[in-house]
Amino acid sequence: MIALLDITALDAADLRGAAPMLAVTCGILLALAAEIVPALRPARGLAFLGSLVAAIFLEVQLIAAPAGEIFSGAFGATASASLFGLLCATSAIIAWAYSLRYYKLEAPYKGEHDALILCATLGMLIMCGALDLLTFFVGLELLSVPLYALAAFRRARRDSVEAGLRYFLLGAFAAGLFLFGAALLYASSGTLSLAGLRAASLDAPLALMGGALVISSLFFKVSVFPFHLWVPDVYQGSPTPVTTFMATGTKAAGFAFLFQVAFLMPAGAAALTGALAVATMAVGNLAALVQTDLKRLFAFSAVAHAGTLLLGVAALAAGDPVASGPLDAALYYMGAYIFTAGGAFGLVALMESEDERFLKLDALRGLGRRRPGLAAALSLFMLSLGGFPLTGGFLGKYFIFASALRADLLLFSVLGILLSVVALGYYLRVVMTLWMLPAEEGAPLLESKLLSGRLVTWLCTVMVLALGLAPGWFLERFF
Amino acid sequence: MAVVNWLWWIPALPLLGSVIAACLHAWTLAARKRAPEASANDTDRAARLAWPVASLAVGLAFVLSVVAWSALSDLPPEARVLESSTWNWIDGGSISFGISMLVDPLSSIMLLVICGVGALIHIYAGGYMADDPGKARFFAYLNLFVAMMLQLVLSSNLLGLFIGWEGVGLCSYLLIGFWYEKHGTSQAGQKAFVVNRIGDACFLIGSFCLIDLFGTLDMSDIGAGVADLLQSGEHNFQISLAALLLFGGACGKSAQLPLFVWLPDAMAGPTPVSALIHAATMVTSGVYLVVRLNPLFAAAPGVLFFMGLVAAATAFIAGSAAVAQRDLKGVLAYSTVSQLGYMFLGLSAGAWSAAIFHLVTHAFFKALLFLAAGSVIHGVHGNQDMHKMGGLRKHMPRTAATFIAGAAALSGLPLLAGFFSKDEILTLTFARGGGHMGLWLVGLGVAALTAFYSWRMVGLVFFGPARFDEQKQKPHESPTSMVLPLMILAFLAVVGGALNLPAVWPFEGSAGVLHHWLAPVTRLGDEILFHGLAPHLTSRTEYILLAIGAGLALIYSHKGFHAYKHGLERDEQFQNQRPLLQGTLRDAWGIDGAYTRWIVQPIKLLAFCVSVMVDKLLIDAAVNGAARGARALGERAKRMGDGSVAQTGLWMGAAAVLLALVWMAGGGL
Amino acid sequence: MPTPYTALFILLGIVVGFVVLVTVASNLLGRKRQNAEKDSPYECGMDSESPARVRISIHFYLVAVLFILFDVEALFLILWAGSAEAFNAAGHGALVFAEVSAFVAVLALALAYVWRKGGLEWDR
Repeated sequence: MIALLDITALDAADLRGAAPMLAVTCGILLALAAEIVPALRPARGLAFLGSLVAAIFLEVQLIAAPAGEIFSGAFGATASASLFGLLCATSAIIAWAYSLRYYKLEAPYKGEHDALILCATLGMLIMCGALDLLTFFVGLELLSVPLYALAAFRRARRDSVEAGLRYFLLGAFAAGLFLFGAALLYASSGTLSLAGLRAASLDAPLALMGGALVISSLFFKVSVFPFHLWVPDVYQGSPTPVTTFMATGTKAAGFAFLFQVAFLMPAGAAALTGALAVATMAVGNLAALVQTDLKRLFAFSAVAHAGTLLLGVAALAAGDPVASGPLDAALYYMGAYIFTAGGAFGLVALMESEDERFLKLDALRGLGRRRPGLAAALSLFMLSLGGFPLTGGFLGKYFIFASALRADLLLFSVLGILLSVVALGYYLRVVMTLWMLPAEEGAPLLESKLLSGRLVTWLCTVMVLALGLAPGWFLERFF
Repeated sequence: MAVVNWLWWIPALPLLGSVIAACLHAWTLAARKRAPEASANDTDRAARLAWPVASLAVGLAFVLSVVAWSALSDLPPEARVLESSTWNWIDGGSISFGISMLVDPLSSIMLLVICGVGALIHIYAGGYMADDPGKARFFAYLNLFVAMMLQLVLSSNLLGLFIGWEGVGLCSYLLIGFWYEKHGTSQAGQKAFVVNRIGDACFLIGSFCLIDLFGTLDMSDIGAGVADLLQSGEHNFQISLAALLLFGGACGKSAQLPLFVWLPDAMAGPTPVSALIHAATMVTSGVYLVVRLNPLFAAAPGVLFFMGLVAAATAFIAGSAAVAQRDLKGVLAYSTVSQLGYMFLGLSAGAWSAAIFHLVTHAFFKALLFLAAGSVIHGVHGNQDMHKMGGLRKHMPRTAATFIAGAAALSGLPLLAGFFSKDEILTLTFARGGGHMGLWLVGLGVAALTAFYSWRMVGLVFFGPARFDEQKQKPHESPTSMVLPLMILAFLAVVGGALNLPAVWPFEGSAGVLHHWLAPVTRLGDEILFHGLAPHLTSRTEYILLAIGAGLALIYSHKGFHAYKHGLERDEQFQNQRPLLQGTLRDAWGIDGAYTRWIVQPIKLLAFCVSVMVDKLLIDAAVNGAARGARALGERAKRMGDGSVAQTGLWMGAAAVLLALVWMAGGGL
Repeated sequence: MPTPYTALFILLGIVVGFVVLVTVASNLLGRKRQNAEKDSPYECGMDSESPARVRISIHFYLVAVLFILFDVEALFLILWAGSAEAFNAAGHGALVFAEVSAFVAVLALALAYVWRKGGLEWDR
């Protein structure tokens, strides 16, 4: 039986648990209203930022006092779901802050852009807490459809339109996989709620097939090998603020649900998942080594990071003796990643705003001398992505590998650590280009006076360092 | 155990100095930006402050180290531990880690060496870097390095040690590439970093093994845990594995086979850096790690013997390579690798204190040699090729005198520092017996090589005819701020042997001071390794061994000096008659080249293949057109319909089906 | 033997008979002027068979999508309307009415947005 939502049974807990989503919804409505009522237009940014900040504030309240299962068990406002939701909302703010001067030709449609980002954020919030395959699917589509449009947002540019179309076609395919898998699961167990599926026996071939399809479509969203093939093109072609959002928020929401449905994997699938994780890291890191385009390089690096997070899922499947270990590790990793990758992609957006072309690695030459602040921030993000101690990225990696080791995934952990050594090859190349290579003649200065961009860069820098230096503060409050 | 919170100040002072120097650098840059036309004299005022600040910071840290040392020596030997309160770095979730500063006899020695030699090198660097526009940046890095090194030796657990370990690696990278405008320096820095990361990966995996075995990373708990595990007789394999992996980490940092290739390249950095980081302190942190964890290594005798093999091979290969170098700093670099091999040779025989002894004396005389070499290079305006020097003692007498003192100590001339420390290692290796006898023979051979190349340097640089244009190039003596540290170090290199005189030394109570000082730290390792029966030699054997060492050093010093004091004939002869051998030695037996050919290039090839196959063939095929804007959008959309999107979708669908089939077939791999 | 279905069968017979009667009568009584338009099925312009790759104005899709959106969402209102009495009886009338009003308000905003942005104009 599909659990039906009793619309007459709404109570205070439901409202409290759904409050962040309601806040974002209000933001969407306000953003659209501002489009039709010219008087409201100046308040557009305020509506956007206000709704997300309100959502973050409400999520923090929920972390401290989770509302539990709400809406007849269709949604779980648990502490970890709220934390994932908080990260998604943060990633939306980061992406938005870098987008303010990015669009030139499309500037008149900036209102739609912001509304679409809010829609996608709402989808993410739903995905993070979904306790039902159908609820999740609603969130997934609410996330995906705006992103298809956002990817093609610079519609005068072929690469952007192509990225949108490509993402749309493949995304629709993945959504199909998800629906088919969910149908098979329903056929075999008669339920779509995660609690019901957990209680049902999933050993039948039909259920295994269904689980595999559902998980495959999630692998697509979070870009696990071999479902990562869309990533480089779509990340490169999309407008960079959108890429920032895709790389951070979508990943957080996808992994939030992947941890929820990891039980769909059969016993003994941990090894396969671990192998996929290592393969993802290998493909991402090796391909990134030879990239010269900055966004492509970061895109492959994002693939590699998905591999590391997947190792956390493998640890969960393999049975980490510390039950909350893998999820906590992934949350910490994701937290650091949002700020690191958000900052890194965002800085690319900031630099691209000034110069319309794709940013090649060579364009960074000598930047350390001309714009030391920006170069220092970018270097910090590179070090954190590479897992350098005293940055948030290091601790995230450390927690994930520690969890995998506790779960006896020694081989995969060792391979993963070795691959992160390989990764340093290209992260350091960026740092070296910034500081040690002389600038080319007549290179653009890449100056940007965007205040919001600077503020958010500071925020990311501080958070990356704080997550690396004072993890206790965060662990006490959010875990 | 006393709780002493001022220990935090020891690493904090250089850290503070580093921050101040960095601010001064920023200030200078801003001043230059404000007034691009102004002369360096006006804009660089702030930068000139960096030197006194940085030197003062390290000097104060040295004073605190002396205070710590004297506080320790007031305690009874078994209670010699000072520890600061613990700062809970990570607390919560499923993991918690505290960091605290700990001073025991071992770290107090390291503190004195790091801060003492470090302070001298800081003073020297003021003169050396005086004309460099980036000197504030230099001192910021150098102070940061000292802070990280102090963190490394002061940490009571492996995680804190690892932070220092990575930190010194980072500073090393930054300082090697300090003159990044110069060709090849940034590549050398990156090479050092990447090679070290291989070792670091070993280190990390090894410490994971230790967590698995003991559930802690606290190093004294690990020592106690090893003793308990040995009682139960289980887990021998895991202990050996952990020890082997940690030794792998030490190999990276301390430039042992197979990871020594980065050190010769690292000489691209400024010479004070070579002296401080790549001779006196950072490269010895591997030795420190092994001594710190001596119970663990003692419980793995197989690993210890393997360490001996690696060490002997490294010492020999690097020593023979040093003979064929023309670059003055190249000789010193290979010599450092070779001497580090000596230290590990000592460790493999369980001679913990002897290795530390050699570490200390080596810090004195190798820092001295590097600094003196820097003074020479400074004097001849940047030339490093010994074939273009000669006769310099007339032009720079004080540098020459100190350099010769250092070379004499390095070559082990009797009664100098190097003589006693090297002899201690060889004697204890001999006493260990068994397979170590063979290693002892190699050690003797390396001693002869060392004496030979040390004096070859002296002959080529300071004696014989001048092989440069004396009219054009006027060599000059360096300023006092550079020569003064040389003299202090020369004094230490001459008398440093008094720290740990051999047991046969005639005066009662003067022998083995350092050995007794370190006894509380090495007691557990000795018990595990020797079961209370430390090998003992008769006085007569000891005398004979001393005599052999002294004789070898004298003979080969004489040979080396006399072969080169008149000119280059011997080198030319060697090159003409045995070009192949000369080439092999010069390239350190071609190991670096082999890495390039067999490891670096295949990885690059693999990366290239991945990029071509995944990126170019599967994905890029569709993008390139767009990027160039060559085709109309309609055509592109058409191509996507039957082109790569479909293909990508096919791949993904196939993968999903495969995943499902694998799960249905048996649920896993 | 009248069964409940007898009437149905009678109706079926009348319908089929009427169709046959009209077709035959028209065939007999009407004048025949053959042309291509008249030979096409339904005789009303839309070919039942044509190349699939015809280009249709993008506005068509926009309007179609908008129609489906509002059409499908109107279905919710029918459900509510059908059970409003029951809700009232159970004492939930006000709550459910508030929920539906919020829903309609959102829809109204969307409609206003589409209208204002010119999404409903065919020729722009």
